[in-house]
Amino acid sequence: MGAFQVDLKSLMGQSSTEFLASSQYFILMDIRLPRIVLAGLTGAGLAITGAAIQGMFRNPLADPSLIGVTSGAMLFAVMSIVLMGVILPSMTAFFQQSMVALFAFAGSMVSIYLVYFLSKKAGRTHIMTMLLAGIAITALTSAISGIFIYLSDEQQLRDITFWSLGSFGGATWTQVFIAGPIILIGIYKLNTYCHSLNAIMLGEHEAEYLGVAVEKVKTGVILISSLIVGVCIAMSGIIGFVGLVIPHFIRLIKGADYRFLMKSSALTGAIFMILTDDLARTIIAPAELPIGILSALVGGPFFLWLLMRSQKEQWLL
Amino acid sequence: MITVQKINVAIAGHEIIRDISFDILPGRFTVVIGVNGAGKSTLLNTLSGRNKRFDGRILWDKLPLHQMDIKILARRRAVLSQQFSPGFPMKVYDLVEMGMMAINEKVSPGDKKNKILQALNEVGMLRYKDRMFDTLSGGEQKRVLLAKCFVQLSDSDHHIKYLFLDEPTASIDIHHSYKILQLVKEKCHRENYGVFAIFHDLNLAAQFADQVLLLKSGELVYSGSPDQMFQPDILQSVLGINSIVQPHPILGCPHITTLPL
Repeated sequence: MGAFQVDLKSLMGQSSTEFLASSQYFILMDIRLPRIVLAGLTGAGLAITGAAIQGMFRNPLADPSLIGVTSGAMLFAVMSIVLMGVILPSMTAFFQQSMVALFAFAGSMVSIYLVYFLSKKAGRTHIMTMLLAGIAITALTSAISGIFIYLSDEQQLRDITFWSLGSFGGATWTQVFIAGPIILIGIYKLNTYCHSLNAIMLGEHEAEYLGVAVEKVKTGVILISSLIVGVCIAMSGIIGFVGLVIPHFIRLIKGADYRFLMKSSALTGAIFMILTDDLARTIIAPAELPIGILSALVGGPFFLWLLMRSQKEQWLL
Repeated sequence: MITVQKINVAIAGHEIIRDISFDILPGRFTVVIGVNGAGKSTLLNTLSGRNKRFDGRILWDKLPLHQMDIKILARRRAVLSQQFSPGFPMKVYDLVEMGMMAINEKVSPGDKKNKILQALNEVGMLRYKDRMFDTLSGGEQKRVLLAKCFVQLSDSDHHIKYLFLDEPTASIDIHHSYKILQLVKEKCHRENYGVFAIFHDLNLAAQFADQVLLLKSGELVYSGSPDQMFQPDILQSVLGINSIVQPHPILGCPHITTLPL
């Protein structure tokens, strides 16, 4: 599938030496495969992060963008695109992409640091303050991003738009090897919080009564989540929707038990992302749709349908 | 035994609890009574380990409270909160199961299930185990939460368990109030729980309490048996009410008839 036809039949027919030398092999192994792996990792990472953050905030509308991670990454990425164009106009595309990724990651870390420490008072993280700080940081960084976008030239504007809509187009094995361990370890660590998140659903005090060290959990969830999201954004731009909706999708089907919710969000997120990326590559081949557009375009209506269905069932009860 | 020695609690510069000392004894039902703002909830929060900022000493079976790990504490005491709402819809069984979080690693899955079903049976909610918690009435919800407290304290070590109740009968009808308090009382005697409860209903307190603490403006003004505490002049000075106290015709405990101010 995709702009370049890798034909399974012709692959089977070839002897292995022929195959290894062919351009089909190259495309499959060095372009398609890392792309699929990265899409899966990103989908899993974003979905489980969404679930964890919703649990920590006890708010079904929470997602990583709410605590300022996304907009911080956006600002730094935009900054790097525009400023690098001024300072180093002759850089290679690869160098530029790497810099944008690095900056985006730094941006998400800086903004989460600000939000987290603004909301920490007397050793406790105030969830309400954190939400508001997240909104304020988002507004501030968006405004500054706006300034840079206003100052950018035609090409830079295209780069910014492309980046902010997300894509796995440039996926390489290097990216997979950098992002993979961080995302996988992050997913594993977040999943160990599933019992604690279940307890936090009952309220922070109730969780403490049950023996959960709530502050430790909050710190862990925030740090690991922003690490995962920072890496995802750095590698493939801003991909919304997955983090918010996949956990709800699971909740609507199987309930809100985090022991199940976390794992299955990660799995479903990965599958959803790989399928959507397949679609993004093929639907208008040889061109590509940005994944951010498609994931919302495909997932949105489906989720609405699910929502309507579950509401009807509740009326019937 | 929980020994409270001269504790003071100040929140945002205001003194809420002043120089309070008393004991919570195992197998005994201790009730604290006072007007709104007297410091009852703060006292409960401080004893149960939620509020960590206090002066003075609280010893849990000779161990200072501030040295107790949050998980160890969770195995030895449970709290029945006044307000409770889970963030997401949840099954009764799953909710009670959460009570076992701190002792999870110590029980086998089969034992765990037995304990949950037994606790639900004790509170008479077994047949509701697959219902969603938020579809239950207030009285039924309280009983489910009580079952959650029971499984939380079901660890079979030899430590004494404590149960804290924050107005367990607030907004609960009188039938269910009796049901809940009788369950607690029975558990208190059979399993030797130390119970510490905040009450507003004087007659329920007179019928169930072994020890009554009267709190006024953050100070423990009187403490003793219901017979000693429920006297018109004491009730007037602590709660500001006029009353007649007679022996209960059947139970023999004090029966308080309140009068207009």
